[in-house]
Amino acid sequence: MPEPVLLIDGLTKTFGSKKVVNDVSFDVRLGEMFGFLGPNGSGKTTTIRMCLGIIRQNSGSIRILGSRPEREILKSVGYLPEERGLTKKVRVTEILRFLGRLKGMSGAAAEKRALELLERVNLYEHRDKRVESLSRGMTQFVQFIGAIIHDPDFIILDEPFSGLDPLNVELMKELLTERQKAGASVMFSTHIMSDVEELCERVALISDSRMLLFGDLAEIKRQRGANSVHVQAKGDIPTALANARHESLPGGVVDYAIDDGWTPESILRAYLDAGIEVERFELALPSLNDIFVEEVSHARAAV
Amino acid sequence: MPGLPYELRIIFAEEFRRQIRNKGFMFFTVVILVGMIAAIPVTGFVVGLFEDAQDEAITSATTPESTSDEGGAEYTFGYYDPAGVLPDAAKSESPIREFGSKEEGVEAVRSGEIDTLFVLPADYIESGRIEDYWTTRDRGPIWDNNGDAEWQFRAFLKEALVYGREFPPSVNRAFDTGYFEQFDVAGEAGDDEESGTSVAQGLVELTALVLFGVLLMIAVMTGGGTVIRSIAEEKETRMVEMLITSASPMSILTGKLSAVVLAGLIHIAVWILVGAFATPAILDQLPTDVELTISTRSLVIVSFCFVLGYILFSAFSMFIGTVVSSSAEGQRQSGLLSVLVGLPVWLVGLVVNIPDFIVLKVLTYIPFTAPTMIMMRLGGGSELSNAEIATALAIVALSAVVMTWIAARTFSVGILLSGQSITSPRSLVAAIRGAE
Repeated sequence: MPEPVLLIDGLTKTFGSKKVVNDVSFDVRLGEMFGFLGPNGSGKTTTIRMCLGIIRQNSGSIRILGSRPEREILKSVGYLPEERGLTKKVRVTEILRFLGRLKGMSGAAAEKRALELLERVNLYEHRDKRVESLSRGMTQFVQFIGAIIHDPDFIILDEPFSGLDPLNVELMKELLTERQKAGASVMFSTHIMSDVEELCERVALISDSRMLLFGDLAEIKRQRGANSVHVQAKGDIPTALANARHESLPGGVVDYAIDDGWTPESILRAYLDAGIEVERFELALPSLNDIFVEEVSHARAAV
Repeated sequence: MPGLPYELRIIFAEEFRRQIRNKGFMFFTVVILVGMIAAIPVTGFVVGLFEDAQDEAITSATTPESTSDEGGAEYTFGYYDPAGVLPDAAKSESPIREFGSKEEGVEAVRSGEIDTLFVLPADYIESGRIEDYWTTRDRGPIWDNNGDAEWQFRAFLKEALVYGREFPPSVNRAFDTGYFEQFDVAGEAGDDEESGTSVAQGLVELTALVLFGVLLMIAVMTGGGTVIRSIAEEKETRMVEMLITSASPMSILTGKLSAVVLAGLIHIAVWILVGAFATPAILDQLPTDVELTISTRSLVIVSFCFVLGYILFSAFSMFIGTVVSSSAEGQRQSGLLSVLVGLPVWLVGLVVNIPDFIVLKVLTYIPFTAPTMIMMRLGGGSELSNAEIATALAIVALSAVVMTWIAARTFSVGILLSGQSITSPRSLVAAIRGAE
């Protein structure tokens, strides 16, 4: 297996007397899109800043693209920080040219690539405008272009979808998927679980500075096990299941909770005994949102 | 710029581009340039007006029709020449009214037509006596006015009595004995210095050196203000996080500092070039023989003061940019620059009178006031030795290096503090020590 693009082990950071990142370990594999989850203030941004060498860890190790986070290596990394903005008085192509040159591109190459990407995100007509005249969403896309203008091998984005309208969220996802298909690895932090479920195979979850979960998303869900079943049938709810806790879902699907002695088998048998034809029967795995809420709540309750 | 780190060059180029496209930079460059060029014709015009006003005052004072002095009392005069010593040509060219008889003139005085009648009696050439007829009626400050009239009549007589005749220069000089050029010889007895400094010449040199101080102040406020806003805005918008993954804090700040300094030097080079062209033209229009001559020593010292002072203030501006929480706060704090750089200029009166006053000596060794204070004290005639100047400038240079280093330290910490200032001494010390 190729070396991970990011490997952090036992990362700890203290500000004053407060531990903001406490013994965090995970890795991001080559070519994958990785979700870095956690509630606000959990330590995601600090972890990312340490990965990029912006601040130094108190302990633990970081290897990014096979090396320590040094500036020469970081030229192959694209980074979109949280709380975005750009220098207001500068024109769009000028700032993108500057960011491209900082990453080692020639001025002409940076400008050419900037125009291509502006075209891709429908901002070409705004290329000569000053940043201050753009909307927040537009500015966010310009900064995103600044992060990927040099076609980096590894893209790190801190809350990339926040502040974008649904159309622009979809556009951003498309661009990230394109970059992934082109061979780049992507890691993004978020607390919007649906985005992660849609884009990522593997995730890490931290809360209150500590690591709660890390691994393959499907595996994590399987490990949690099913806590309900979804049944779609040609008939009403069997009388035997009248006392079972259930909820009607769209499309004629009924969600039965697996508790109070009810098992997937007993629920299916109740339908068969009643002579009702079952069209679909499946174990419902917990959503990432459920896992997130449960894990964070448990962790906080344990403190 | 081979040899310099790549990132530093890119940041330098970007910051320099922003500096020279800054409205303040363009405004002050153009305004001072236009101002100096405009000063040439304006000076000529003003001097012309002044001379015309003087001529008019003399003319008006010597004709019965008009004029008034500062006190508001009108005075006029005429003359009667029974001695016949004034040539007709001189009389006809003069606007002063001549009366045909003493009675006619006296009647004009009594009727208020004129204030004074001068009569040149038959023995005027031998005796030098001039009869002066006037009245005390309703005259206000008549004595002063009459004095002016007498002075002006004497001037008329000097010209008229020798009208049309050629004399050797020494005789001409007897009619116009010249003006007084003052020299200050306050130095120690036995000094090897030349006989003294022309006071007017010294005034021009002082003005030029104070002007350098003011130009430094303008350049610092323009360039420094821009760099404060630039750094504060990059911090505020998190743009700096993108920069810092590509360049070290020291490269970022050194690149910015180099750009600001180069822009400032271009600023001052434009002003000096235009000044070198405009100042002699302006001085030519003045009714004195003063020239703008600054000694080579002064020029070398001024150059060092300006460059080192500018670097120090730019480094200080960067420091302010790294500790403020927003570009708006940076804008407010940039006022501190004008206070520091402008302090010596406010003390110009003291510099002119007592250039070696103890307070001024102390300010010469304080990094932020040293550059302007050295320039001004030199202009004020201070006996600053080369060793004193070198020491003061070394302090400025060292302070600039230390300030850049401090700015790089606070920059590394400041970028993490979104919306927070590093203002308390404790947090500042912690930031300098690299605590996050």
